[in-house]
Amino acid sequence: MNKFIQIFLFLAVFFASLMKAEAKVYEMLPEMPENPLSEQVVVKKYDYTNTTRVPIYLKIEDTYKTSGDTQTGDELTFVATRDVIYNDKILVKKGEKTTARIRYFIRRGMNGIPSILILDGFNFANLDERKLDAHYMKRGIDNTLLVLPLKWALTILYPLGSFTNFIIGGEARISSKKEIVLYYYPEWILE
Amino acid sequence: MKKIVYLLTAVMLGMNACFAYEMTNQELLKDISMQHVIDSIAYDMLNVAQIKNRMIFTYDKDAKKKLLKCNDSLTKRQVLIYGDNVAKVADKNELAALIAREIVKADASYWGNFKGYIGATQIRCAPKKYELYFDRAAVDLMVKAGYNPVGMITFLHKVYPQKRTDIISTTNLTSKRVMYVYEYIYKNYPEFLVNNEYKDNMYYQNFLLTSTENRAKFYEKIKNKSDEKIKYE
Repeated sequence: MNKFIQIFLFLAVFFASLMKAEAKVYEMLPEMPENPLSEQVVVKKYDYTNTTRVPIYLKIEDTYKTSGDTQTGDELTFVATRDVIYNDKILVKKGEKTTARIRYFIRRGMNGIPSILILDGFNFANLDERKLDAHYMKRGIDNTLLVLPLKWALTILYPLGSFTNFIIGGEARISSKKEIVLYYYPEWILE
Repeated sequence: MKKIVYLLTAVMLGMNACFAYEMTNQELLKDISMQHVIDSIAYDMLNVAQIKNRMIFTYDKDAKKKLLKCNDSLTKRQVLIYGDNVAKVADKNELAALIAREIVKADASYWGNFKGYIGATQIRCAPKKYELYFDRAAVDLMVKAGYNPVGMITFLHKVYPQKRTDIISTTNLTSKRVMYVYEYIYKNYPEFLVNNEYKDNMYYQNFLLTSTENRAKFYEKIKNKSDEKIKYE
């Protein structure tokens, strides 16, 4: 009987301590420690509720193809191919010219990796640039689609598969015959 | 006597549990707090830069980068922020730099055929080609969201080790990357270098010290108005 009391006491004290610990956890939860970095974070204001978007159709003045000489910062000229009307107002007139800047350029490489051209800075007199699609991206022909199956197929004929490494990707090309589309979101509210 | 020993043992065991819970929860709360900070910076950046591709951010204090594991930013668009990287972050700009780089990477994983499968494979196979783009695009993202891009320089300088050479390597030399970021800020956001918040920062000063030769080459290029690409070391 004595032993039962001893065991009972042991368990009682042990579980009481655990319960106390658990109670401590609940007490602590509301007290979130203040992270010193959180005070420095400033969140900007924006409202993207409205889904209205107006397409702007453009064509490049002269066909452009990336090459070894392509540099970031180069400017390309585009011409609007249609009138852009929103709420009975002409936002962009047909024939209006704009320049875009090559913001990033990733050169093509082995294994069929294509070159990538990313343009930004499209400017129109009546448009808020911030409400326009931020970038226009053009990729060259992706030869990786050819490289991967070829490499796997040639694996059994070692080392032929490795020669597919030397297949180069395509250069990015913006044709003066093809229209490109940028979207303008006139109802977005930006700080 | 036996009773006293049993009671003491029970009390001691209980006390251990008490301290264990306390420690774990303090750490847990710190993690939650850090997760909130990361989320607020990251989602603000996504909104300001109008990035329309979805991604999430997970702070994992204990996770380590594994050599053979695919980057979750590219496969699941789950940006993992590692504890050992956050430990090196000294201010909000450096944390923003860390997050901005991962955002750009996760965004790039949407490129290419098969819903980004091919594009992500290319980034994984040839990261060297894309690394400089990630750094530059992250600098733009930081500026758009209102952070100081010089934080990118100090962040890269502190976090990435310096290899002997990058000739047969999948990554660029860190000194080269940092210098390209410096060049990019110099050309696009010179106001941050003119009124430099980081002038008295020891990490920035260490970058200036270690990049003396590279910067001399760059200033020479600016002086001569040359378009030639500089070979940084």
